[in-house]
Amino acid sequence: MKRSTPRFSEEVLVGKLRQRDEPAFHTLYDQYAPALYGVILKIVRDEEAANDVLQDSFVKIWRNIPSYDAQKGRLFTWLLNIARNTAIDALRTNHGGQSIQTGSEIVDTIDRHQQTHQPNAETFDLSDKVKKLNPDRQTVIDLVYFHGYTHEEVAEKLNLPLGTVKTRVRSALQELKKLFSR
Amino acid sequence: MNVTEYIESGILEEYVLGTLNSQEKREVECLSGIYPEIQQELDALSAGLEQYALTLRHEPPADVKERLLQELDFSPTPEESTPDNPSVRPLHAEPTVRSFPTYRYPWLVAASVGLFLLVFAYFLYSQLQNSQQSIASLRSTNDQLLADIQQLKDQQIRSDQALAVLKNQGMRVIRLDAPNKATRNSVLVYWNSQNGLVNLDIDSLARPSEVNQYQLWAIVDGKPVDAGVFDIGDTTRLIQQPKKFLRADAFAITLERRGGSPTPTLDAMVAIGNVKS
Repeated sequence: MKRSTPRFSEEVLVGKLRQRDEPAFHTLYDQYAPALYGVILKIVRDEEAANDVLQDSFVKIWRNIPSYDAQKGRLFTWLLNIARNTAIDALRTNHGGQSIQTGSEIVDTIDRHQQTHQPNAETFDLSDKVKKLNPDRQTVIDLVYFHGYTHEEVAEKLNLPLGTVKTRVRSALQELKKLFSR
Repeated sequence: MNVTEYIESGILEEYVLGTLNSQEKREVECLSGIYPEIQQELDALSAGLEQYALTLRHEPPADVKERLLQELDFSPTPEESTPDNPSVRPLHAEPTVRSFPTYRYPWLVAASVGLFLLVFAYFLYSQLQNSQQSIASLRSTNDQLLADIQQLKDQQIRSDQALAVLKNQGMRVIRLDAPNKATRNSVLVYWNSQNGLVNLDIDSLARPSEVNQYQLWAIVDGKPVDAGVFDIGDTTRLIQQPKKFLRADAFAITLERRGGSPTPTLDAMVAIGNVKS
């Protein structure tokens, strides 16, 4: 698993990336591009657009790597946030407000993704774990994390009280935390 | 501060999902630097989301990497761009990541440009003010000059008229003075004995009240004959009288009621002068 990569080598990788070392870029790309691409694909739901967003994301990562601080947060999370923000921005500029879909549609999309992707052996058990996640909670997480909705927007969309949405978001993340902690 | 309560408040979940406003974000970043428990919880939540993201893994097409390798700049950077003590960096990508990333400090650039524009605008404004003041003063000078020229022209016209009258053949100049010498009334009569035209050139004569008017008389064969009334204007000095006299012994001016009188009021005589004197 990627998390098993020693912390030291990640520091070295970041240092080399800051010096615009080309082999370091290959390492970064090969290691993280599939995960970032999966997230982007989930957000923009169009391969053509996802390719552009992935390219833009790596351009931003390349330009902003000097401002990354390992003490403040994990590298993968930092990369994910750049990819996610770029994808949400692309979605908003391309579709305006039209991209809004209902919660059930998102669940469908998630299911379709998991059926159409042929997950490799490494991620297979992870997908199984996600399936254990309460579907209501997963919907809330997907709306907030992958679609950039505020809690208020989620409450309006799913026709739920704001308090319920907040509770579900919190429970969903706690559940994810427990599912993946070893 | 109760750290457990803070962790359970749900704010850390919102932080990793990126739904906090910038002030709340700073608060979480500040507290996570102080309390290791908070940092630990943030890491655990981030790891949960990372693992979730990993379940979505999907191999991107190879040409994306090819395009990136062509687009990115792999020339080595100078050392100063990799500081030893990196500045405070929030967990979530800064807004600069989304905006134009070429400027490291876009707000600084924007502020400089704004300040420059402000100063430049003020400079233009003061230039405009100066120009407008110059134009106003030039305009008033010009108006003054035009008025002076007009006045000179009027004087010139009057002088020309007087000269033209005087140049005629048979022109005689008769000086009319006050009869009692006490006042300094003085009028010149230009009388052309050939065509009979009479012009008055008022040298000094008091302006009468509204109800009165000066009247000129010609003394012909010892009898006063009405030669017309006249007013004293502001500028006109040469007055042509409507009546003509081919013969006259003397001219006199009396002050009469407005409109004139058929016979002269002798004790209101203001000036008199003989033709032959």
